[in-house]
Amino acid sequence: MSLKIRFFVQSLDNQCFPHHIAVGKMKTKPNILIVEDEQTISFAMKSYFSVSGFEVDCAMELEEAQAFLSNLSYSVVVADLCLTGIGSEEGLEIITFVRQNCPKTKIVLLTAYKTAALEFEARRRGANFVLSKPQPLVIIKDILNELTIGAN
Amino acid sequence: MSDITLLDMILEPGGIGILFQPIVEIIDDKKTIHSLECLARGPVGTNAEMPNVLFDYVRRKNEEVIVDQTCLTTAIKIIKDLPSTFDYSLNLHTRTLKEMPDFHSWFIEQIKRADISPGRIVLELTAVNDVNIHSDELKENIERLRDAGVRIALDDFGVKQSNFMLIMDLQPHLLWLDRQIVTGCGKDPKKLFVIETLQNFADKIGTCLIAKGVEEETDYQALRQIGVNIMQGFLFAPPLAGEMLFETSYLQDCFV
Repeated sequence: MSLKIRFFVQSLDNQCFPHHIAVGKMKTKPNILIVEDEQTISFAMKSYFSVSGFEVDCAMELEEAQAFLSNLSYSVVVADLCLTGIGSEEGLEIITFVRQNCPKTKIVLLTAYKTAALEFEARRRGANFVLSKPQPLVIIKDILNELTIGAN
Repeated sequence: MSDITLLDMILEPGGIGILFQPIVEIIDDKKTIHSLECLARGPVGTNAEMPNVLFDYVRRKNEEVIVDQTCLTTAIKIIKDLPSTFDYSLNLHTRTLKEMPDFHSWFIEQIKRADISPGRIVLELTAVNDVNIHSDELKENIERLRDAGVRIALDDFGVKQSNFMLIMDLQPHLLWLDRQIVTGCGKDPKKLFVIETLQNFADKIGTCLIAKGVEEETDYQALRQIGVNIMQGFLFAPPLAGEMLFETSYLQDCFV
């Protein structure tokens, strides 16, 4: 994946401000954070959800997501379970982080390894939805609409 | 994984941008430029363009050393071509000084290569998230830098790890009072009392107190009344790119 793709994912609906202009986002639509290490997937989600009426940010690492969540406000976080390879469970850490630091933010966990035990653990930590991957984007969009009713 | 991480983007050439925000000194009721603080911004078009996000991410990744070095070399490259009439304040994590015992020689080499006198440089140390702040490497680096003529400032004083013990360890030339204490002090007698006490303390130990985050005229007037003469904030000027500061006579418009 090239740098250009990464840059495009980040800047799709954020204007590229020159360095001398203070950055302050005027968010009028519900905003969501996609946490996904595969940039082709986050690119597809960002493109689709952006035209569906959401402000979308993307993070691909646990630390990046935590930095965003500590300094910005999101209506919903859509997080993949595994960010550093098969068997990793950063998605669960994100759920715990969100519940402790952003109690109003809703969470959707995506995973290719959904089991009853995983779903139980994710819900115990505070996830609102646990979805299998792959998942049609229209389904996720409907869930986002449901979770953001009344949000800005 | 071949995907480009945010850290990769930060470390790419051009990944870090530098803005300059004036530090104002009031002498005989006239505002003059004390120095210019160099402020790093992350890659354009990403959330890391916001400094809080940038450095929150860097600290969570434990990558302060490499990112500090990138920010410093980027700033030095720009300062090299800016007027030599100004002093410049550069930010640095205390962790970098602890984990890089030869930082002093690396840094002096960088500024000498850029033909910048060490006397024009202030290194502004932040101890945010540094849980075990006291170390021999930190003290050694500070002593060597001080010997070379670089001035030392302690950032964020009054919050978190930036405390009195650190002042005794570092003996800074300048003390940056955190904005949480400064902002709104014009309408908060308790804040003002704290600042006045710290100004007296700074005078007694021979350190300059800098009030950060001055945004209201009421704050400015209150600070003046208790003898604070060095300040920074949007009331005076926002962070600006070097070319805007020096090519549009912005400084003269603000401070003549």
